[in-house]
Amino acid sequence: MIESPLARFSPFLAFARNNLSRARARTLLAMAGITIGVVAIASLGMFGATLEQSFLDTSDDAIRTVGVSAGEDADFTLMGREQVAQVERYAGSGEVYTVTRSRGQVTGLQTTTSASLVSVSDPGTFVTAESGSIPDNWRSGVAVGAELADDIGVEPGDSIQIDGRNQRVVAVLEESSAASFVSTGDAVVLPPGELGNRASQVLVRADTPEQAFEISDRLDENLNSDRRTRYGVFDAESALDRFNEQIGLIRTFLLAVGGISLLVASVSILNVMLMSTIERKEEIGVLRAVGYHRLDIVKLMLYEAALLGVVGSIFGVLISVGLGMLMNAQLLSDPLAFSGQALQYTVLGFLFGTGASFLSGLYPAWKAANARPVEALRD
Amino acid sequence: MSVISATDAVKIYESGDKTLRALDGVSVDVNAGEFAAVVGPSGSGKSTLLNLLGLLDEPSEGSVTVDGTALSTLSKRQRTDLRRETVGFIFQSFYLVPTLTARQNVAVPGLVRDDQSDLQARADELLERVGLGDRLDHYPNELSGGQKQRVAVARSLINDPDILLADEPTGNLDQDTGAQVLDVFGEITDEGVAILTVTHDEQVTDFADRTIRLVDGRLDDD
Repeated sequence: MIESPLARFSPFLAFARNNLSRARARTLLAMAGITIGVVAIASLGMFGATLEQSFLDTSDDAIRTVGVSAGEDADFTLMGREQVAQVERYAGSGEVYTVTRSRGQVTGLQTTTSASLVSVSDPGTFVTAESGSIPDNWRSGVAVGAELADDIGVEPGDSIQIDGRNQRVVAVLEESSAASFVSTGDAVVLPPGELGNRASQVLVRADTPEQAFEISDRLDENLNSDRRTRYGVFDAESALDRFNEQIGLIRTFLLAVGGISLLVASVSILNVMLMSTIERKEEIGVLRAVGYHRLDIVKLMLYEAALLGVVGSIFGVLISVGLGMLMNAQLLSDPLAFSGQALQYTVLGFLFGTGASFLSGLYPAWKAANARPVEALRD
Repeated sequence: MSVISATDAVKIYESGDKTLRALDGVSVDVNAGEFAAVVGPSGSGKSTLLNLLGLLDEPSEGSVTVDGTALSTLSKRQRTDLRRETVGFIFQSFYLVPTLTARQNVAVPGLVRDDQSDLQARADELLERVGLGDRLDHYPNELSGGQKQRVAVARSLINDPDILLADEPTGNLDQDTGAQVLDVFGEITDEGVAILTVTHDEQVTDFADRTIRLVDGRLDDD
């Protein structure tokens, strides 16, 4: 009877939509409530997922790395060829690197300061030059961490003194992430071998965090089999667990905030639908009189509530995806880097939004359907 | 031949410890094609009688019969279906849906039918019949009171009822537009549909084939 694509699909649905168009402002406000609720659930959930993704991305290298150093029961402090070979034996598919650390007095153009000195077996894997460059076959010159370079005021090409020895600066390094095993911010990185051939730490890097945790367990079991801690084995498993626990808490909290706003939204739908049934009491009475069954009235009212929910939720999902793109651009530097989990939250938001308005439509629908046609018509 | 009849109908309303005998043993037969007017002072039971004959309510005692079927033997659902097939309603305040055009308003009762194929054509035809063929796509606020009531009459006819029940159909209309609506009523009864109307309007009682007077819930045959 109403000519529209919706009517061809279901005339009854078109009738419901038409009823909603009566109090436009009220309908829009009720829909806005649902939209806000869905945005809250979907975008807060996505925020949690993106935050986690961003953390995993930046600390990915650290999480899949196992560190081995001399344990408290060790008869050595630095690890020589023999100890490194022990680690290599159990490292499986993991790549093995050695790190040697020391401290020294570093003098730049104006100031002298104490800084840590680091030498890694494969510098390219652990550090990246921000300016200048680290040669492939690095024999001489040093790379300076960003913070330290700032402190002592040097750039690539300048000379610095380390414990009185002149060294040329070949590169200033990018900041390394806080979770990295080899932090270089206030350190000087020297070519491999410059700090001696014995390692203060052996790093094993696996392809995935799970592999790293396996390697770590295996190393601990085999290297320390006589109940004495000859080797200290460190991995990020407990840190990751702690992080997951925290992100879980944050996420639950965000979802609860979203849930509450959706609850408020469904109360407003309930209110709108109740007002609508009271205002249309006579009209509903007429429909009952002309042969609409109670279920027809319930159906009509529920269609109205569901339409509010579906349309409100669609807007909510669109806005959330927009917000998600902003978050991705900020935290993951790619607007389209949606994780599966982040998208799940938009689906969840949509389902909650439609479900909530459907549920709040139930009581008004039942109330409208049960008004007896006679009473509905009595002025 | 009687379309709907009430026999010794009694309707008692109870509110708190008060009981009200709104109808106290009324028997009415409405025949096909007849135009009957129910008159009486307010509180005499007119609306109650209309509700009983419109299958909107059940009598406390006595019976209401439609085409030989006693109402008391039907379930609520069956009663609603019977009401849809048998009775059309017209109200003093029209009760049109403001966001629907004339033809959409007429089609509304048909939306719950299984077969809706000729619904629109039928609505247009009915609007032609009540003289609104040129107002099909007008909304209620673009129509005069008399036109709105004629849309309501068209709506009451969409399910091919045997009887129209009208509650003060001319109550909100002036003399001339009231007369137009009565003309339409005349055409409808000529086609064999009965009309029973509650009214205070002498214009309507003058037009009616028969006047039923109610006083204090009883028929007043003077």
